[in-house]
Amino acid sequence: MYKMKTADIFASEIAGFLEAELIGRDFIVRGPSSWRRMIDNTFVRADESGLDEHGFQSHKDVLVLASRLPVVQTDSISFLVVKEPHIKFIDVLNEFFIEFDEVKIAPSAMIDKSARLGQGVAVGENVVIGPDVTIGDGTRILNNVVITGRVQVGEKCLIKHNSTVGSTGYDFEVDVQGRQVHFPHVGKIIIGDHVWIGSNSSIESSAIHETVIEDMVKIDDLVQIGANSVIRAGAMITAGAIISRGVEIGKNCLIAPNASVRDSVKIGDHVTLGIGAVALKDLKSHGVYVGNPAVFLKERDN
Amino acid sequence: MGATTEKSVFPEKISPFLKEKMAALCAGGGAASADYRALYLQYVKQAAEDAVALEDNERHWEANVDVEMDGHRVKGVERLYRHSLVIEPTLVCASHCRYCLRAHYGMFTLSEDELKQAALFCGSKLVRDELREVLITGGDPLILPQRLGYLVDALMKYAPNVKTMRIATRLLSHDPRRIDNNIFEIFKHKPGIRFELATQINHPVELFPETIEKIVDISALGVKIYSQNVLLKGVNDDVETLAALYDRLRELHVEAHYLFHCLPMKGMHHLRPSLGKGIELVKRLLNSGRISGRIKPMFAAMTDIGKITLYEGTVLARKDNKVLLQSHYSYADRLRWNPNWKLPKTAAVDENGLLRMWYLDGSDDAASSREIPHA
Repeated sequence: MYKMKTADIFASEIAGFLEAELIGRDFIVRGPSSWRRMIDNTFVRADESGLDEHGFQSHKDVLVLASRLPVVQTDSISFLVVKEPHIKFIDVLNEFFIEFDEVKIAPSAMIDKSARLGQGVAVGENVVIGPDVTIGDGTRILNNVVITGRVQVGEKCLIKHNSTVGSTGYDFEVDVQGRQVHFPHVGKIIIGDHVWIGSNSSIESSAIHETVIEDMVKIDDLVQIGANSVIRAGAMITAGAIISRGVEIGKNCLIAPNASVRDSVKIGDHVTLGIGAVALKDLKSHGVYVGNPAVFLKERDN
Repeated sequence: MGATTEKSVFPEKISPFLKEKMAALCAGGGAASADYRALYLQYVKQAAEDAVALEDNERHWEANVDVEMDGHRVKGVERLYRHSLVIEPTLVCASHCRYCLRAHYGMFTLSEDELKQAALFCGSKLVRDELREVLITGGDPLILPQRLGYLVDALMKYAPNVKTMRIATRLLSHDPRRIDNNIFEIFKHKPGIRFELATQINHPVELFPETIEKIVDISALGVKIYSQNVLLKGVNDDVETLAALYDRLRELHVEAHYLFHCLPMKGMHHLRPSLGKGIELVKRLLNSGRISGRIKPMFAAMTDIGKITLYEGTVLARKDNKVLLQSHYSYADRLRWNPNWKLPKTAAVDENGLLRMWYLDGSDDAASSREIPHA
């Protein structure tokens, strides 16, 4: 999908990109390194708690992104004082030192003739895209992904390896004779723009209406999103989470690893559900909930 | 194209790629060789820059060309012409050309939100009926491919009236190694959009093998590359060099566009030939059978009222070291395209409503241009 590249960038170019004053000398930066393992001619983000203690001896031509200057500076280190240096570090890395793969459709991909792919859609090896699927401009679908059913994927999404979008839901009723009756899932899946779906995850198609993943939702690897669930914009669902059917997860929620949400539970906006927590009933907005069953721990800061 | 980091201080900045090339040329042909000098004079800061005489401009436009939307200035957008406007995503470059027209500007890089505002302006009712193309310049927009890609996408989304996107860059000669898949992808999968790459190759030596490789790669994507060059004393102010340059550009399918008279920027006296010499050079270049008629540049001056193509009839009068140039820009049009525009004090409106302006000439004082480069 992308690779690190080596480039000879002046520190002043990075300063210009971040609209920050370069404090110290201008020199060539060839890539990133870390605060604890600084390498010459790189840029790092400062560990703010250790900024004054570091000393920077034995390092040459390192560009430090920090929210303030250290008490003592050396000639060999230059600084950019920026807000949110951890975010700016990623911005610089993406802009100058990452090269994305060529956008193409792999020859082994099987794309139904009735599927509609937007401009600049990348499709990996062995991907299956069925009839009635729509993929928005600039979306990347990595190897072995299967997208079937009435699925609409937005623009600039990423669907990572081996995931399935639109597989029929696990939905059985048992009658008095013990006969297992499968409820056929013929509904839609609607996925917004800038959505990330991790590897080996499954987004089930809805029974009748829609499963909805709104804009900017980020889903980690090994996540299941059950039928008819609605994930509101900006929610982040991390590895191993199980979201049962008919669930609603509010805007900007954080569902921590291995958390589970029971059928039809509604979670408000800005909720954090802790690691391994099990939500058995509705959760109000702006709370942090932990445990099994999940209980209120504290108000969420943001 | 252009960049700076601090007002009134334009630090020397030469990309590692160019430094390698300069070192190789110096080692091969010597410091006095024409090839080495061509790079040296363009990129190495010289003492002559501090000898400020007549060229004291700190901006290349005296007039205000900013635009407003909803009562707010749209950052990084300038408009002077009917069909087109300029967007500057960043003023950062990989190297600093000493004669850069933005050498004394403040430095900025537009955020994604600011780029979106620029795109929204391009598609707004204020301009959409006439605006058909944008020139994306700076700075060098190719050094920030993510931001450039964002801008291109935003223009396609919010300004479908824009059908041509011209992107100005010197990265082809500053550091072609940085032109990679991130940039190629910007030009792909954009049906209905004509992309043009405006570069600046002032001397044949700048067509390095790595440069040629990327010219071929980009051309293969259907992007038309053209070169708008600058006439520089000691670099390319002779017919032989210009003929060799345009021959080579034609072989590489790079079109000729403007051959600019070097701007009257602060400290650039040593690089500016006179307009008269420029006109004479271009006459000899174009009317002598030296180059194909399909690769003829237009000699032009970039003035406070816009570009003026130069030929003998353009120069109406001379006073001291200034020349009065006739344009065919209409004052009324200018105000219609950009209501904020104010007539620069160097300009006047003639009896036909057309603009004419006083422009600072260069000189043919050889001594001032021949600072001997050293290894």
